[in-house]
Amino acid sequence: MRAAILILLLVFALLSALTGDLGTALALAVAKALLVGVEYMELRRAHRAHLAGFAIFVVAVAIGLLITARPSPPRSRSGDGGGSIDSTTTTAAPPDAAQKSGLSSSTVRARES
Amino acid sequence: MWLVVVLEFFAFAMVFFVIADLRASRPAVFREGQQALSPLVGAVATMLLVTSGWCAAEAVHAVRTELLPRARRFYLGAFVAGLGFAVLKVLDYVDKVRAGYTLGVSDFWDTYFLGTGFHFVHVVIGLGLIAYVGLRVGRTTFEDQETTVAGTALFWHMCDLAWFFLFPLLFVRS
Repeated sequence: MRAAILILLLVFALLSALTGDLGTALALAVAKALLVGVEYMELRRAHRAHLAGFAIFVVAVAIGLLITARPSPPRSRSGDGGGSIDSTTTTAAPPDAAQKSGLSSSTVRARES
Repeated sequence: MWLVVVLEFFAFAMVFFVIADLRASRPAVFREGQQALSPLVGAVATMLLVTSGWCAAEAVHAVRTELLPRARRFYLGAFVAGLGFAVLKVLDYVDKVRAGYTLGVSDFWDTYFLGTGFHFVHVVIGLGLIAYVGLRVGRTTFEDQETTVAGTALFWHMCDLAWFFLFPLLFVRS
């Protein structure tokens, strides 16, 4: 049994190197970790709660890593016209005009138009 | 020993998440760094570690069944395969440093040396434990043989588990 697990682990190690997808590689890592945990760390002989705890922890770490490693969406830059704060301020009334009249910049802009 | 393993794995998990966060936040830096890594070398390292782990598991079983010469052979196998992993990592570090990839060059190399270095320290400690138990088993009466023998193997398997997650995070192209 232990030798069969070794062969599986070697195959999984090779597959991990060949795959170009992080999700697949992490799934293989979970499979390898569970095989080592159950057979070599002898969790199959331990209390079921310990085995379940180990499995849940390994799977949770893998899912957490997959979520964390997901590329973040690109952020809008100033002046790109994408509805950012910068694009609003370029159309707002000059601050000195608003200060002189005592009105808000949006009111000044509306009167000017 | 289980408590040590759990605490160590939590420490490793923090390193994993730092690497995963870098993959997401600095993809260009990460991709550039990964170009210098060989997944094949990483796969060979994984194979050496799992072979070593299997030898350690067989050694524990042999000690329990009082087949001491067999246990010593498997401890030797575990040590040699583990040493192979350590030598591969040292050669890898030398290669990277000669190519100009050191700490401070980029965030990728900082996390690479932090993550694999932290793991390497554990491998060296594990090798020491395996050598000690392998040389002493059957010749010394341990205070608690089961804890000594199984605990050493447990620590060694924890090194396997940590590498299983480090490998895809660092070597699988983003």
